[in-house]
Amino acid sequence: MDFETSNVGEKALIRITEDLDTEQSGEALRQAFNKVYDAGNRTVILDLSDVQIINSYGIGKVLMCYKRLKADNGVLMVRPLKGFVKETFELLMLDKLLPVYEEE
Amino acid sequence: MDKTPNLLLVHDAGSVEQEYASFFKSSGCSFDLVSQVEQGLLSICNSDYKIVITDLDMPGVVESDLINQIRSQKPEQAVIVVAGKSNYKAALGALESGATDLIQKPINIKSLKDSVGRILAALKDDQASKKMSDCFNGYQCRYVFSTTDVGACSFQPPILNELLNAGLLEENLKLKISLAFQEALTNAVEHGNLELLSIWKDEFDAEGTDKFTRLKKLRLADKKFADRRVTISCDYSDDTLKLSISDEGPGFLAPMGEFCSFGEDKSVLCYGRGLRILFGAMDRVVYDDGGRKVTITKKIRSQDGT
Repeated sequence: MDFETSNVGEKALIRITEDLDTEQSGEALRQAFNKVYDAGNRTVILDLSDVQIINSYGIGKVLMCYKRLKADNGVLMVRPLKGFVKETFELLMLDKLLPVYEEE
Repeated sequence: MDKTPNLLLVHDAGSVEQEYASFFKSSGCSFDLVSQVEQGLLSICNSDYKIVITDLDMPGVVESDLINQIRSQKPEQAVIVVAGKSNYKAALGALESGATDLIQKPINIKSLKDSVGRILAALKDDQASKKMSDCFNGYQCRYVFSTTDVGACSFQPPILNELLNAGLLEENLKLKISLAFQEALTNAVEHGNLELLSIWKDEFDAEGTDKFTRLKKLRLADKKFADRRVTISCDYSDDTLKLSISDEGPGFLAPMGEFCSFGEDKSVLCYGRGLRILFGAMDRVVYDDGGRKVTITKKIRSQDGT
């Protein structure tokens, strides 16, 4: 399982195409994040629009990305969320922590 | 055979028959007519009408009191209020107090027919749904796994899909309950039976493996931990789903009420997110047996069938 990475201007985008509730998808996120981080990107956008389910394990992986970027003055952003993932982010108040990236 | 008419009209007798009679005759609805509010309340108390149609322009009617009085006698009673334009505020008050629908005077027979039709169809759906719910009433199931069996924590109680297929559980709610269940199951396996601490996820060895992952692997291969069981009980009664998960670990200090503040950066990053999801998704979360057993409860169908 690989998650596609690309660039939006000077920002890196990771498109997560599987539910973030298993070790496999968590590992795929970690690898995709390492790839863009090692390439020098310090503003990273997560696109979770294809994700239907996220659990505390998946949230932990998202926060791992956040912590690494924050330690290096970077920013982790999310594309507008919807449905269950949005509710879960709000429940955990992650919506206060991760700015939303609106298309320019 | 139940001879109670479908409808109760609480209305000034004067013009009502002219206004309604042809409609009720043609639609096959039977009805009782009372011309005073007190009589109406008594009739509602003594009979089971599908719909009460009441005129708010009658003397002595206080719209919210009337609806509240009806609701106190029959909480699920469908009520259509009829009001003139001059009594618009009263009509809105009645709707706010729980009236099912509003018909403005002069009465448009088609609007009345549509309203009655909608309510009767909803009642029929609700009865069908209730009948289906009754089929599951008293459902009980128990599953026992060893820690290695549920090591992947992918087990889902079959009742969730059964309720979904029966139309008693919405997809989004099923997702929430599934997630909460998985969080509880993961806690039972990892923190209960395997005695793993979340803080070990941040402690890495020279090879870059965190202590949590390393010990999890070791303990899953150690009979002392791996043979501990996880017991899952599922109960469904009175439209409420209750899932209990028990482990055989040493237990823990169970959280009471709000157990963690998430207002600041630091606290968002702390552990306990699984519990937060559990508390957010379910109506009740109760720990007992020293933290070895958690029971999560969700009412999946309200009294009005939604």
